[in-house]
Amino acid sequence: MLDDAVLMERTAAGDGEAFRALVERHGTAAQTFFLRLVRNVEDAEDLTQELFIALYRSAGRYRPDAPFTAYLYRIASNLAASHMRRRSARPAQSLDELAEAGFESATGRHEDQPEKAFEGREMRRRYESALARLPSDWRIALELRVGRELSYAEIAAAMGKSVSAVESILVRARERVAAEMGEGGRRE
Amino acid sequence: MDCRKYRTLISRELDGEAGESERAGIARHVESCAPCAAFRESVRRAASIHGGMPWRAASPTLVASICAAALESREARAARGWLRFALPAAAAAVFVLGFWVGSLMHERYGGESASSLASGAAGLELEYLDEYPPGSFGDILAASYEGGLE
Repeated sequence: MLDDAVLMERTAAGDGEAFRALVERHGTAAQTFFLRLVRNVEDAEDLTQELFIALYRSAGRYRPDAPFTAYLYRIASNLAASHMRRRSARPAQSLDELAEAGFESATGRHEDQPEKAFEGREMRRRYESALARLPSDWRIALELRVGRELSYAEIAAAMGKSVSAVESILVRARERVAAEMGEGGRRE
Repeated sequence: MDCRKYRTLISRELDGEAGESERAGIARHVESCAPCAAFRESVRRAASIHGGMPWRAASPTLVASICAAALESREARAARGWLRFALPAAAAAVFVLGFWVGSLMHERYGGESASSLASGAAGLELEYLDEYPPGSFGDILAASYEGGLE
C-alpha cells in the first residue's frame, strides 16, 4: 500500500488514480468527522467534497515532512469551524436520529436489552447536549482526539495551536462536559 | 491537593499521553480524592459514548463525485491559467499594432495634416480678431497682436 505522502506527490503531478486512493482511504473518517460536528448528512457530504477538492488543489504545496493526517485535518478543521460559525440552513440531526437513519454505531444499540438501550440513549442525549454547548474549537479538538485518535502533536498541527494549548482545551472541554452531565464532582 | 494538575493528568492518561510515573500518581491521588475519581470515571464514560457516535462510510457515489469535481476544477484552473497569459498578450499585441499603424499614418499623412491644422487655427484667429468694432478695446488689442502699438 502506497504511503499518503507518495499519493499526494502523484496527485500533484496530476495522477487521478492516486487522488482516488486518498479519497477512498480517508473519505469515511473525514465524512464521520464532519457528520459528528455538523450533525447533518448533506452538510457532511458537502464538506467532505470541499475538503478533498481543497486537498487536490493544494497537493503541490504539501511537504512530506508534515504528517498527512495533520495536513488533512487542518483543512477539515478550518472548513468545520467556518461552517459552524455561519450555521447551516439545514437542521442539525440528533445522534438518535442519525442512528435511526441507519448510520453505523461502534457500540451497538442493545436491541435485546431494552433497559440498557434506554440508559444508553439517555446518556448519549446528555452527552450530545453537553457537547453542543462547547465552543466549536473545543468540539473539534475532542473529535480529533477521541473520534479520529490523533496525537496531541497532530491535533496541534491541525489546529495551528501549541501542544500545551491543545492539552488545556481537552481538559477544559472534558471538565465542562462532566459538569454539564452532572458528573465529575467538585474540585478540591 | 492539586486537583487541577491531576485533572490534566487524567485527561492525558485517557489519551494515552501520560507516562508510567504520571499514571501511578493519578492512581494514588484518586484513592483519596472522590471528585477526581468521579471525574476520571466520567471522562472514561464520555470517551466511550463518543467512540460509539454514528459514523458513515464514504459511498462509491460520493468518491466518484469528488474525483469528477476535482478533475473539473483542474480543467477550469488550466483554462484560467491560459487566459491569465493570453489576455495580457492580446492587449500588448493590440497596443503594438496600434502604434505601428499610427506611425505609418504619420509617415504618410502627418506633415500635411499638421500644416492644414495650423492654417485653420490662423484663420480662426483672424476671424475672431476681425469681429471687434473699430476703436474698441478688442480692436486695439488686435492691432497690437498683429503689428504692435505705434
